[in-house]
Amino acid sequence: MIQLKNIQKTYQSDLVETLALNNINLTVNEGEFISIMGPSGCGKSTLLNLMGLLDKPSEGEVIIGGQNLQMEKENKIAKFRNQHLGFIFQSFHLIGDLPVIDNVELPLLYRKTSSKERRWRAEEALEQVGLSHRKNHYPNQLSGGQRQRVAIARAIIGQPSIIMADEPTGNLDSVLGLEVMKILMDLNESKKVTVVMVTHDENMANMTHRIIRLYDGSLVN
Amino acid sequence: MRNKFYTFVSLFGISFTLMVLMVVTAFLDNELGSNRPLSNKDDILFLPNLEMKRWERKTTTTIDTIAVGDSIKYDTTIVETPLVGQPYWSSNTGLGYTFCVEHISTMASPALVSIFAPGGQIEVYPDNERLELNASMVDANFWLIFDFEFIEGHGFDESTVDNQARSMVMTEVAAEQYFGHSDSYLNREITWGYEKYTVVGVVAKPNTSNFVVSPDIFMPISLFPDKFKDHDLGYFGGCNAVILNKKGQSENVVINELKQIENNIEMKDDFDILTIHASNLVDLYAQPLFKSNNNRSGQKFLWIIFTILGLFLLIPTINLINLNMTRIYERSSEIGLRKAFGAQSKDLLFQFIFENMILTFLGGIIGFIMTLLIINGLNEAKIIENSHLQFNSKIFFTSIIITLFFGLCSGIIPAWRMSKKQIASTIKTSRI
Repeated sequence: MIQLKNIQKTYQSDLVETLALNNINLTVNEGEFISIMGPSGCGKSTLLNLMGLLDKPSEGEVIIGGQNLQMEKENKIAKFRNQHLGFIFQSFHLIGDLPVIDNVELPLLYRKTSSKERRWRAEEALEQVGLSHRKNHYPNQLSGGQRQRVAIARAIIGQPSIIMADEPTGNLDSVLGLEVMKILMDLNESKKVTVVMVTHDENMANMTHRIIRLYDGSLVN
Repeated sequence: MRNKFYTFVSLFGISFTLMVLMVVTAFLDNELGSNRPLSNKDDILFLPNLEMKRWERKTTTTIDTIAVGDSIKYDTTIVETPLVGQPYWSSNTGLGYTFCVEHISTMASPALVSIFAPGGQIEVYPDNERLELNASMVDANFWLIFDFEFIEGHGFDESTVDNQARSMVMTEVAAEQYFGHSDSYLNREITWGYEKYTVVGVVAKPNTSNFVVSPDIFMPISLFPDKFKDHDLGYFGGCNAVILNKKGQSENVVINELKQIENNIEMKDDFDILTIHASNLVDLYAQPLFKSNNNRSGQKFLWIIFTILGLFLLIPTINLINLNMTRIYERSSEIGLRKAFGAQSKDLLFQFIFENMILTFLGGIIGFIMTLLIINGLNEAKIIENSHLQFNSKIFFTSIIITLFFGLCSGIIPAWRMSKKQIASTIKTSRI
């Protein structure tokens, strides 16, 4: 499903070149739920961004579903993300001015979908995460766990085949974190969605199929 | 609408700038636009004055001594050579009536020529109350060149002028001041000095401050006393002339014919040169502002006005671009998020421009309301004499163009820059 070949990522500042990822070779199979672990600053989020086509590697290839999109135009990559990928972030990234339902609808705004269809699909997605009764609330009226569930609803509304989750439980206590994990596991099991999750939490990581460990930008066996 | 302070500052900046622009546009259209009675303004040339000069003289005296028998006879010859370009004295004032009749009215190139004596204050006493009115003496062509809006009656025809009929055309405002409010003022009499004048026409008061068309009352020029018509010097007098150029004919044709008159006219009263000053509506407006003798300063005036307006629009546009950059930068996380979920740069560009246009449009509406209030205030306060600013469809259309320009300019640059931001960095660096 996802193949990383000889990935290298460097960041260039005025004088210093920082190597964030070095010679990463990784395959994530379809329907797999993997977690990426490692100390802060080891390159976990950078790796996730590359897998989610939010950033480009300095060297190497990212192949998703058999397609190498690195050299494609930004518009085509945006369309691919919209069709195939869903994202969940540690700090939720909900738009505060919009009610929950509009936040969830966001990915469909960039597809040819009628407003009516957007609405019922958003309601359906909220139903899946158990928040349909909160659809007209604003994000600041929700708890952290509820916000992350809204973010999950937004990630799944487009029925992506892959979900990239960057520390989805990082800002939640263990009970709420577990709730979020259950939703992700359910998505993985029932919908066969491939999930790549960055986490610091060993317990959460143990619930996934496979743990990838990173240290100083390199994979550790 | 995200940040109320930025929104307020933006709205205030947009509405205030647009208000100033709309008021200036209203003012320019009012004073210099093709509005009645100056609908023909593009074909009109005003001759408000003429200038005559006498050059300095170089005097050469030659004395010849001739011996006649035992005596000597002196033969003195004095030769005066004019020093062209060095004026000894000059005079610059109105045109003589006779000069106008003989030289201007007989011109071949114009469609029409009107001779008139511009406005002067007169005193009348309705109900024993003193009332000052601005009176102008005009001929029949005056009413053909200037399309006054007649509420009642008509202007003077040739026979009225030739017969020195004591007729009068007044503005509705002046008629109401003199007679009090009435449904009709036609054929009523107004007393000036020992004479009575019959009202033959009532016109709507023009909104412009142009001195040619703004008097309160108009009388036939034939009633203008001879001593004021022609002065005892040169070709001067108390008159002005207006030339209506033929449709589509270049102004230069008329100017060239005026030059021919200047060159061919017989000089008198020791003058050496005569110059007829011709001005269009804008020149006429600009000349007193520049306080110069240049009678064609209208173009310069327009350049200055439009440069100032351009700068006035440019400075807040740059400020708004900066402000929008800040506003949009605050939303960089949202931009990253939208891009992550599939938004393309053009989607974001469209979104931010649309939001900015809405903001500008709101500012435009506020600016429009403020403009109406300001125009009303200026008219009430009578700050500009004889001028009554009006907000018409032309100004509204111009304002919409200005608003669109303002919205696009101030929105497109920040939106374009922010839509190009890298997703990973925007999501990483901020929270929504």
